Amino acid sequence: MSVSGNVLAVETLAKAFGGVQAVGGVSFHVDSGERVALIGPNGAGKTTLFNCVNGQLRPDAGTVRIGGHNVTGHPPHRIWRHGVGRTFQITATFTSMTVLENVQLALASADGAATGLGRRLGKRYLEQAGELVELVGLTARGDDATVELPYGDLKRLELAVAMTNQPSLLLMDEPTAGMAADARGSMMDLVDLMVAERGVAVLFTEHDMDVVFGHADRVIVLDRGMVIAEGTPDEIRADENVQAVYLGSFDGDEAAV
Amino acid sequence: MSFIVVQAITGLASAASLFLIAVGLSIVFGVTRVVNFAHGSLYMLGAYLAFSFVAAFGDSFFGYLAAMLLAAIVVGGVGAVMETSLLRRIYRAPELFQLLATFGVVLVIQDLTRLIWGADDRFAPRMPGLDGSINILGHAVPQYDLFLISVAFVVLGGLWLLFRHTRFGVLVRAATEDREMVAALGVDQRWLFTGAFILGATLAGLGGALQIPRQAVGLSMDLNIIVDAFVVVVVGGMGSIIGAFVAAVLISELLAFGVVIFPQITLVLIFLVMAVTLVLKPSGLFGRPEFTTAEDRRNPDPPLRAGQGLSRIFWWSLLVIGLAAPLAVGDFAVIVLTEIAILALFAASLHFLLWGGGLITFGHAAYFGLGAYGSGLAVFHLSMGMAPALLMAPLAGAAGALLFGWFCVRLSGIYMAMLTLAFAQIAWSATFQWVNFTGGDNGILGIWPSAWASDPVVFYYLAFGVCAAVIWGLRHAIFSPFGYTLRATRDSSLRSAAIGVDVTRHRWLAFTLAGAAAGVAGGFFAFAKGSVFPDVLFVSTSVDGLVMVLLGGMQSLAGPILGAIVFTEIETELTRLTDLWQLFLGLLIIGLVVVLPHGLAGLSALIRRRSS
Repeated sequence: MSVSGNVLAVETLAKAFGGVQAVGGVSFHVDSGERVALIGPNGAGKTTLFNCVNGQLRPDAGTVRIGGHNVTGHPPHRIWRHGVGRTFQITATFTSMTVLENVQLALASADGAATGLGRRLGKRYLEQAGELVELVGLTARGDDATVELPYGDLKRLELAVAMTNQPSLLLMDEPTAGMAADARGSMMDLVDLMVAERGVAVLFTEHDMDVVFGHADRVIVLDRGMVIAEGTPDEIRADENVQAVYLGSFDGDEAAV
Repeated sequence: MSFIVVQAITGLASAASLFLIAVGLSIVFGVTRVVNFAHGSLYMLGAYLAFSFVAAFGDSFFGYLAAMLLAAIVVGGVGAVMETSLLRRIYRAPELFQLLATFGVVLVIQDLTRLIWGADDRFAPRMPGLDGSINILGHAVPQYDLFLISVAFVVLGGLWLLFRHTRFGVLVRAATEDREMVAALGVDQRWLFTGAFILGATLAGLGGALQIPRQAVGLSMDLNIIVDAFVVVVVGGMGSIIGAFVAAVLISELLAFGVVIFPQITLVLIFLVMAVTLVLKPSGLFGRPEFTTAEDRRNPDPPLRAGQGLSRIFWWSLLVIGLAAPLAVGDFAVIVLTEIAILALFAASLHFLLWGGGLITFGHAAYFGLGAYGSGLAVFHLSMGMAPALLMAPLAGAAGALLFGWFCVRLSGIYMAMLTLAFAQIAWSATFQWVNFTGGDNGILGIWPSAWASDPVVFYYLAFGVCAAVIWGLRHAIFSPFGYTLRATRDSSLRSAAIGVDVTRHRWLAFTLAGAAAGVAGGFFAFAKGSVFPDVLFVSTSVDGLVMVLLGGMQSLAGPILGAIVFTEIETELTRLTDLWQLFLGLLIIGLVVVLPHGLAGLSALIRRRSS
C-alpha cells in the first residue's frame, strides 16, 4: 500500500481510563476517497478511538497521522487545520444563527478570518455558503434560524459545515443516529456524493448495519479495544470472529429468552 | 521555632471562622447548585444578633455561649425564610441570575442592618472565662483563639457524623454527587434543599457570632468575608467539606505568615495560590469536575438582524437626543447625561461578554476601575494632560483583562463568575493597600479636564462622542466575524473547535477587548468626577453594570444602553429622596430576576402573553 495515499494513519493507539483499557494498541489507515466504517458492540472503544483521532482525547500511546502530519494529541481546532471535517452523534450547530450564517462562519474560519473585526460576516462568503447549502439540499431554509430545523436537516447542515475547509477526511460519529429509516439512506447518499464529487475520505461509526454494509468500502471491527477484523463488507459478513462477537452474543440472548 | 508555633495558632484561629463560612457555602452549593452571595450577610447578621444577645444576657461564660448559639439559630431561621421565599423560585434560573438575586439579598440585609443597629461599628465585650491568654513557649496566646480552633474541630467532627450517620447527611452527600439520581429515588427535594440551606445559614451565623470577641461588628463584614469564602471554596473545591477545611487552613496560614514575611504582598499571595490551583486543578483541590452537558439549548437567541425597523429608529433617535439634550437642560442634568453616556459604554462592554460570549463575569468593575486609575495615576504621577491620560485608560483596562482573563476564560459558569469577582476584589484591595501609589482610601484628587474641555457641556460632547463611537465599535464587532465567532463559542464550544476556532484564545481576546472598552469608560469617569476612589473597582460597581444589562434586557443590543439610562435616572432621583437606595436596589434586582428575567425589552412580550 502506498504511504502517500493514506489520509489517516493510526498506529498502536492506546487509551485507558483509570484501570480500564478502552483502546489497546489499535492500528489502521484510511486512504483518500475511501469510506471506512468503524463498528463494534457497545463498549468496544469506538467513541474513545474516534475522540483520540479528532483530538478531544489525548491518547496514552501511539500516533495519529493526518496527511502525513503527526497530529497526536493536538486539540480539535488544530486537527481541523489539517483538513478534517467533523460531524457529531448529537448535532452541534450554532443555534443563535441562521443556516447560512453557520456555514459562512465556518468558511471565515477556513479563510483564517474568524477573529477579524472588519466587514460584517453577513455580507461575506455568501456565494460559497450558498453552494454548500445547495449541495446538502437546504437552499430553501438558508435564512431560517437553525433551531427551527428538523433533526435530519441539522445533520445535513453539519455536513455542509464540515465541508467548508475542503477536507480530505470526514470524521462522522454515527451520521444517521436519531434519523428515521428512510432519511438514513438519503443522508448516506449525500455522503457518497461528497466522496464522489469532492474526493473526500470518510471514517464513520455506525450502529445501523444496512448503512454500514451499503455505504462502506471497508469495515473495521473493534471489540474490547482491539481490532478483531478488517475487510470489505462481504468479508466482514463472512468473518467468524465478527459473528461470534455480534451474532453469537445476540443468539445467546435470544436463547436465554 | 516558638514564634512559628504561635503564628501557626493565630492562623488556625482565623481559619476556624473562615472554615465555618466556607463549609456552609459549599454545602448549600453542593445540594442546590446555587452560590449564595448573601452567605456573608448571614454571617454579618449572626455577629450583630450575637452582639445584641450578649448585651442582654452575655455576662457569664454560659450566657455568652448561649447568646452566640441563639444568634446562630435565629440566622438559621432567616435562612429558612430566604430559601422558601426566594431561592426556591430561582433554582432553575441561569447562574448569573442566581448570583444576582442573592446579591439583591445582600443589599437588602445591608440596609436593614443599618436601620436596626446603625452605621457605626459595634464592639462586644470579651468572652467571660476566655478573656485571658495562655503562655505557649514563652508567647502569650489568647485563650479565645484556642477555643475558636476547638469549635472548628467540633463542627468538622459533627458534620462528619451528620454526613455519615444520618439519613439527612447521606441524602446531602448523594445530592452533591448526583442530583438527578436523588430526585429519581423519590426523595422530597424541597425538604432536602431547605434543610441544607438552614444548615449552611446556621453555620454562617455561628461563624459571625464567634467573631464578635475578636473584631468589631460592622457593615462591611458581609462582603469582606464572602470574597474570602469564595476564594476558599474555589481553591478547596465546590461542594467539598474537607476541601473547605484544607483551603481555609492553607489560606489563613499563608496570610498569618505572609503578613510577617511579605506584609506588602499578602494579596498577591492569595492571588497566586488561587491562580496556581485553578491552572493545575480547575475544579479545586478536592472538587470533582463539573460535567456540564456543555450546550444549553433551552433558550437559544434568535438570529441577529442588523439595523431594521424599530432598532434603526432607536439608535438614530438616541444619537439625536444625545446631541440635542444639553441645549435644552440645565447644568446638573448635563452632568447626569455625561454619567449616562459613560455608564452606557460600561454596560455595553459588559453585555458584549455576557450576551455575546456567554461569559459570566461578576468583576467587570475591575477594568472600569483600572481605566479610571490608569487615567488618574497618569495625571497624578506623570502630570499628563487629559488627552494622553485618557489614552492610558483603555491600555490599563486591557492590560488587567489580559492578565485576569487568561485565568478566567479557562473556567465556566459559576466558577468563572467567582474567579472574576475574586480578581476584581483583589484589585480593589490593592488600590486600598498600596497607599503610596494610589492614595489608598483617600483616592486621587484633582483629575480635571483640560481647559478647552472644562465646560461641562463641552466635556459632555467629548464623553458622548467617544463613548458613542466605542459603543458603535462594540456593536460592529458583534456583527463582524469576531463577534460571530464569539457567539459560536457560546452556542457550542464543541462545534467551534471542530471548525478550527481556538475557543479559549478567542474568549481571552473578547475579554481583553471588553476590558479595553470598559477602561475607556473608566477614564472618562475619572475626569467627570475629578477624582478616583477605590469604590470604582468594588463589587457594587460590577453589580450596577449587571443590573443595567438585565434591566435593559440581555438579548437586545440596545438593552445595555436603555438599562444605563433608566438605572442612572432612578438612582439619581432616589438617592435624593431616600437613604435606603440599597434596599430599593436589592428589591429591584430580586424583582427583575424573579418577575422580569428578560428586562424592559422583554416587558412587552410579557404583557402580550398575559393579555392573550
